Amino acid sequence: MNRPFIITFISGAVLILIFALYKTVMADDNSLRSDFLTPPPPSVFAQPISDTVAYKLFSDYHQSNNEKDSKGVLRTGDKAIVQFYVDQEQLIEPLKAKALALGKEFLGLSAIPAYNLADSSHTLIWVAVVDADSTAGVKRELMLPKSGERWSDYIYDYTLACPEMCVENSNWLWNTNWVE
Amino acid sequence: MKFFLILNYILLSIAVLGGLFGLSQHKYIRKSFIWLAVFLLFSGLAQFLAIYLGTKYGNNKIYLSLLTPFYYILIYLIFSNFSKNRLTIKANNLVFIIGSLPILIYTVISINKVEVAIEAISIANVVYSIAAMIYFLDILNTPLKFSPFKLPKFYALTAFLFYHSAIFFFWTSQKFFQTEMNKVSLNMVNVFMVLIYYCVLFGALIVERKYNPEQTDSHKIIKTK
Repeated sequence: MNRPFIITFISGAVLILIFALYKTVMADDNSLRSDFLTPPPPSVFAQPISDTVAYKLFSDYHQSNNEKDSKGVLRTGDKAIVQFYVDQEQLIEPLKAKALALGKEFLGLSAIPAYNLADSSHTLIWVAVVDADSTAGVKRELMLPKSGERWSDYIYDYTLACPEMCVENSNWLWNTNWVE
Repeated sequence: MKFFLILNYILLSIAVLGGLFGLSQHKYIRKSFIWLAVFLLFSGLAQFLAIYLGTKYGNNKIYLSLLTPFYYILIYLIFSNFSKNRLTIKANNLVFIIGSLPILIYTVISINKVEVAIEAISIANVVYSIAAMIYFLDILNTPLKFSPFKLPKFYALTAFLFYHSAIFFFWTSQKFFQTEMNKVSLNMVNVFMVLIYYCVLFGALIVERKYNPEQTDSHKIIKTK
């Protein structure tokens, strides 16, 4: 047993203990203190709304009670776009798989409004949102290729939009008999 | 996740029980095994506190980093009393002294960044593995009259070598496996590894109590040099 080593090492460990106590309790840096003492507040991005509130938001956007008279600004050709459909298999899964391949935690999707001049239609392009650094809490960032890297499998264009491609019972969105 | 937490409580309870058992038998076991009992008790209680801090305050990274130097010195105290061979002790001291400086430095850096001291823990794992191998070499150079399974040191060294050499991958891969599913799988592997580790160390204390060569005449080690 090497006593000088033990004494020196324990002295070092005790100094680190004092430093750790300073860092957690005495430091003036409030961000560090709150990081240790309180859990981070939850971020709520999505919450349910009632059907009447949803209908109001929907009709205020279209400024009409039917699809034909819609004044919605997002258009495909001369028709207003009623909805964009996000497919699990064709859009969500490939982006999840790409994030997994890069070793990033998949957090969600970012929908970016875009315009296609070729057919005069608005569209949405989709980029995965991933955790930038899982070791220091959640940091949301777009999963984009690095500078100089080939752009493949990162950004998805989703041009099929209703009324060109509508899912079943889409007409029900125009229903006016919602019950609160 | 409930199963995961229950498993954690079970393995930490094994460590605490092992520690208490060893300390209650301190008159019958050798110095290195008394330190082993202290280590088990300290590990169990420290990890219980880590779970408490994590669930109550949402962050126990500084605390976990702080534990590394204390584990290090406890494991050094266990190893340094394992053998009377001067060459083995010198080699062991050298490995621990070389490892100590980067461990202290990386611990300070990690505490300053409010991160878990992954680098310090990884270096410590390498030190423990090398030290265990040094003592295995010591055992091989010491002919035994009886089965190594009656040698308490054999169990302790097996546990140290098995756990710390294997868990090195767990700590060094933390930054590469970032998805939630991979983190859960990795943590599950860690929990099972720790469970085996504590059980074998507890077993070493039982074997020491039963076959301690200083307490029984039937087991004598013949030194070649």
